[in-house]
Amino acid sequence: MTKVYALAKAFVRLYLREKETLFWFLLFPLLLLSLLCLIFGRMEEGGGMGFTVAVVNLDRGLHGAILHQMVKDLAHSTELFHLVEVEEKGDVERMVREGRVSAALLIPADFSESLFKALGMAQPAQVKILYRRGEAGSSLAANILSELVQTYNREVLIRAGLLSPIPPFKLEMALIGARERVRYVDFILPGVVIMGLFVAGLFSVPSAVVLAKEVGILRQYLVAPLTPAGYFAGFTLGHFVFCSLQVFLIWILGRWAFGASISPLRPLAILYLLLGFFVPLSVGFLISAWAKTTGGAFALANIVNLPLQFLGGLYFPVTGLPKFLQGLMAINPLTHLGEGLRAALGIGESAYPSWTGPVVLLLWILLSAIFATKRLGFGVER
Amino acid sequence: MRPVVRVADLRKSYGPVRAVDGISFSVAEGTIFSLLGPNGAGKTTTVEILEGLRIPDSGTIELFGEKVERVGPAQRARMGVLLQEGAFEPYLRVREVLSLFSSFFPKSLEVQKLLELVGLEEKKKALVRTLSGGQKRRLALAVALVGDPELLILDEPTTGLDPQARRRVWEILEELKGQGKTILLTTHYMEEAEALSDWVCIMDHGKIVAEGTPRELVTSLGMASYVEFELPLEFLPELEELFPGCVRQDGEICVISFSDLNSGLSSLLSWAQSRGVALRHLLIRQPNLEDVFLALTGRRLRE
Repeated sequence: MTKVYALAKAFVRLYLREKETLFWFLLFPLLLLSLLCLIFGRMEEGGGMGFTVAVVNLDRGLHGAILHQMVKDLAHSTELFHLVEVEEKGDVERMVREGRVSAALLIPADFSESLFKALGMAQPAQVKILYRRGEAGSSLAANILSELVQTYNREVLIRAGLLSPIPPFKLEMALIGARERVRYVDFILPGVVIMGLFVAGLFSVPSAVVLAKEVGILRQYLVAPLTPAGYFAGFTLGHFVFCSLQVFLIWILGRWAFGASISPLRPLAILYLLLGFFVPLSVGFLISAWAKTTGGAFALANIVNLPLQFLGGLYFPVTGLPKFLQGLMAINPLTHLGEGLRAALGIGESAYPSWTGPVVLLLWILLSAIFATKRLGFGVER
Repeated sequence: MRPVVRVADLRKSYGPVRAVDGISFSVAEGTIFSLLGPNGAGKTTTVEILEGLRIPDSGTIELFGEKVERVGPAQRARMGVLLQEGAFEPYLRVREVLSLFSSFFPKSLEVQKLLELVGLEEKKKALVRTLSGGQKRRLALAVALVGDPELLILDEPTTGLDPQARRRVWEILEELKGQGKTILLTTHYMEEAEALSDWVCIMDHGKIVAEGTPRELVTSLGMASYVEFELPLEFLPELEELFPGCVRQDGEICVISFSDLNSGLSSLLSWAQSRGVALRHLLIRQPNLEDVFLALTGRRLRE
């Protein structure tokens, strides 16, 4: 065991001394988490994202004033809406066209008067919402204004006795499959952890092992009384210490800087973190066995990494993908690592039965390890 | 003295190329044994088989008095190996490399003493990547010694070293031999084999073409001395006629071997006087292993 500890210590030193390894496998996940939380976390809290809407109230009557006040109240209640008061109809049309406001509510001069006359008549009074075609933000702002106008429309009908205050049916919206409210940092933290472990295994393992094969380091170890198993045990232990440090730092940053509330100290979460360590490690060894040069190892790691990352559901939903791609997703280790860890942390549910994740992941470890051992040769040439 | 290494009818081919073609030798305990030959002679393949890095096609190997099917950790624990193209982790420090390798062996020498022995104590905190080629070679020698081995296998130990460093390595090897260590080395430097070896095997095209002590090998040529000088090519036929079978042209240099230097040299000088030829840069030297190799193969060691 002394050999394995000594070798593990040496590998940890190597990881911590190589600037590129430090940046890509330790600092980059921290930067990524910070960046994502700063951008999307603020949006979640209403900061950084919002609409500027304008109101032109030409009506001097009661109804125009109430509708105008409702928009003001909405703007006060949320940072999502910023209200701009505009006097002239021509000005507001120009502002919408030029994109200076997302949408505008135009209350005509005779709105209150025509509303009284129109009650129960076929010709209703009119207000106008202006927005730009083909722009999602503008459409969304217009829909919110439209909903506001419809609310007031119903209120007027109820007060005029033309509509029952009791609705004929009730709409209930229920959130299933997750905690009631998942904060963005709690959602993205497991994704960044898995990404960090995956990239470290896929890229750092081949770069170290292939370099060792290429320049003769591996042969130097093997002519000492060190067995191949001893070498890989030492390497694995060193890599485990480095990855544990990586996971610890990501979690500490998420918790202290961005207020993550999830804890990895649950048995199932620890199981998925261990699988998240061993799957990329064994795939990394497999790549090391096939690649002849460090350049080739990086190319091979990229070929493996890119499709798995894109079809892993870490960055965007993959439910709308074609069926054959969904089949590939079912055997993608990243799908099971991401979904499994999130489910273990109580922030989502896997689309697959609970046994599939560990089984698929263990198969990846087993098959990669078998093929890697068969091909690697450990420097002994026949 | 009991043999530490004994090899019989060892064979190894790479496709149609017979890298090692039925060689047999034994290395006696406490001696320095050299495999001398040009690049591609099969020296490295032979020692890599003994290190367990290659598997022979056929033949038998005995190490430390025991027959081994395949060299493994049990044998390596008693050996120190210096590879021809080995390397160390570039981001480890010199002292850390030695400590790491010392942990692989059941017994080990003190790291500080090794650093002093190979002259690297000033570099003990340096990263491997910052060492020069010669310093890396000396570190490799220290690593080969770290397990206090009974048998040292050194593949081209002084390649890439400057003359001063090479002399230092020779001194270290003599010192180790004095301590009773057995050393098997490969080299293509005939002066190295000559200076260090108790026994030399000359290899060419995978075979042992001659073996013995350096003195025996040189004596086997039957030549007392060699005379070298610059000579215009047109005079060569005359000399070949005068000293049949003893003259060879090596570029602009004419080399004549004499079994009796006194009479041979006097005949040469008389001929030169009578023909009015100046024997420029004339040199008289003793025969060496290079001459033995040349006589056996028709080629020079470094060709």
